[in-house]
Amino acid sequence: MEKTVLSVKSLSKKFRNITAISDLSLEVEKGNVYGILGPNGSGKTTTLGILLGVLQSDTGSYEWFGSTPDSGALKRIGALLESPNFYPYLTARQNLKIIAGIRNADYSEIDRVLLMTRLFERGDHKFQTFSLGMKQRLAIASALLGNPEVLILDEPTNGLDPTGIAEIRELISQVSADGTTVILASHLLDEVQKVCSHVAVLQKGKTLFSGRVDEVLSSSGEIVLNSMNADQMIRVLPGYAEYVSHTIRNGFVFVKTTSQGDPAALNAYLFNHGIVCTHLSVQKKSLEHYFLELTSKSSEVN
Amino acid sequence: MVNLTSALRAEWIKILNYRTFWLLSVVYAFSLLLVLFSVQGIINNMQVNVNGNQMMKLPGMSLYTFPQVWHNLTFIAGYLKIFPAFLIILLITNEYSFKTLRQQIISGLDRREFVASKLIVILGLSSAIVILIAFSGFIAGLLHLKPGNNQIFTSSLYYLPAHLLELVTYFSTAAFFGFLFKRSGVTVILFLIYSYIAERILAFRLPDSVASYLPLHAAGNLVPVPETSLMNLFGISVKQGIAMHDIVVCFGWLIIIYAAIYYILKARDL
Repeated sequence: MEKTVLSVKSLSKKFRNITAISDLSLEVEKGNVYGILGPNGSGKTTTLGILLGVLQSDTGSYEWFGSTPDSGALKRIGALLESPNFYPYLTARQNLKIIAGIRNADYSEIDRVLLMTRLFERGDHKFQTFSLGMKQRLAIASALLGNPEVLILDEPTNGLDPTGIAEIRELISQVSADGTTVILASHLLDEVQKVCSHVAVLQKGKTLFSGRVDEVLSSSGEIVLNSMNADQMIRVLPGYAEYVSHTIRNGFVFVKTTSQGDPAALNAYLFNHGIVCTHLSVQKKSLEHYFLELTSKSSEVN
Repeated sequence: MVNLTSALRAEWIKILNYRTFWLLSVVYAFSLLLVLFSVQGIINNMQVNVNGNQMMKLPGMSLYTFPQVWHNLTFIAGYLKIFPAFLIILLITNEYSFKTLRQQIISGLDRREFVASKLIVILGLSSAIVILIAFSGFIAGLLHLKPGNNQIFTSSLYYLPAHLLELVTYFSTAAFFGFLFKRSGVTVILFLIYSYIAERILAFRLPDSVASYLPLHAAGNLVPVPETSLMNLFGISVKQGIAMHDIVVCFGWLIIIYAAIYYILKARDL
């Protein structure tokens, strides 16, 4: 069985003089909840637009399910891209019938997706009477038609109230528990951190980082130490192979390590040098912290 | 795999519930019937200035006798085809202004299915108009049966399929404008300018042999000006029947138009 659901190779796209994305590559595997994180204008929607066949890339290529994409591949993908687009004069149900027809989904599925997105009671109301949150939910309902293997959500919680946001997150964990691969584009770090297993961080159309979310978190963490003989500990610390820097705050020593840094190895190293720790903990940084670090670094380069 | 049934069902849902479409269709159908049945009265009450200031009543004529009725009605109907063309433009540009074309492509709609479904809508609308004209012609013909007229009523029926081709070519050109310009207002204005001004100036400037290859010109030529007593009065002789040349040109343009629409959809960002 195919393991790689999506593979993107050095995609680039310009709109007139503005580079929307440049040399973007990523791989999404089956069952991932893959976050594409980046500030507004970083190329998230452009990337998804290309992957969904509505924008043409200038260079690069991508494959869905291990083959060059066509409309058949798109039928296996449910997507919400930017704003929800439906016929304003048709009811929710009529709009879903049109999409169900395209995706070879049975009309009986319409009730199911309306229930899943809490729109069942409003099914026979016209799209133009919907609030932004309801429109967004209808777009998610239409993406769920035909039991897609991949669900792509571009800023799915836009325009939703806190209850709506919580419901969408619940929905994402529900479908991903069923084995559906989810690709979530968002500028909300908190959202990606809560929901995703993998993340690619985009800025100005470039990938700054891609990998597992917990890797990001551990690699960017600090190890907090204390010891009876702190002065000696500070002297031997730089000898640790993965040492980067340290700071002393509130009487504790905060050690920054490389991504291979490991609290157990550090503890063993210190012990071998005759230092016994009275405190050892790992402080994970939030993705937000990491994100700001990454994006500020790259703007310094620019 | 091209899945036309679902694409057609989708078109049906879109049109069936589109109140503006039906409103405009009913207005058009009434105007068409009104025009078809009032032209004779207008012509027969018309007075022309023949010599100096002498007013003369035109010789009474009937547009509605078999078999000329088919030719006369399809010719008159040709003047009103711009209104249903607006409906086609609306149906195409809606897909852009509602961004539903984008949504449907994302959902897995094949671009060929989309183009084919719009072509079928055009065929359907054209057929409906021709059927309306055929009914009108049949009833008008029955009401104007001349005793001793042995002409079989079917002898000029070929003007109906000719008018069908005229409408399909005309509407397809309008659809092409819709795909090209995307916005309804702009498209309507540019199509009006093209069909009533630009192509006519071009046809006037070009030698006839070249002008006959223009799409709307060829479509309009399919049903030629009927030869009536009015024409005889002015001593104008016109060609009769349907020229194979015009049929071939129209089919040629249809192929070009739909290939161009598909290319536009394929190459352009949505």
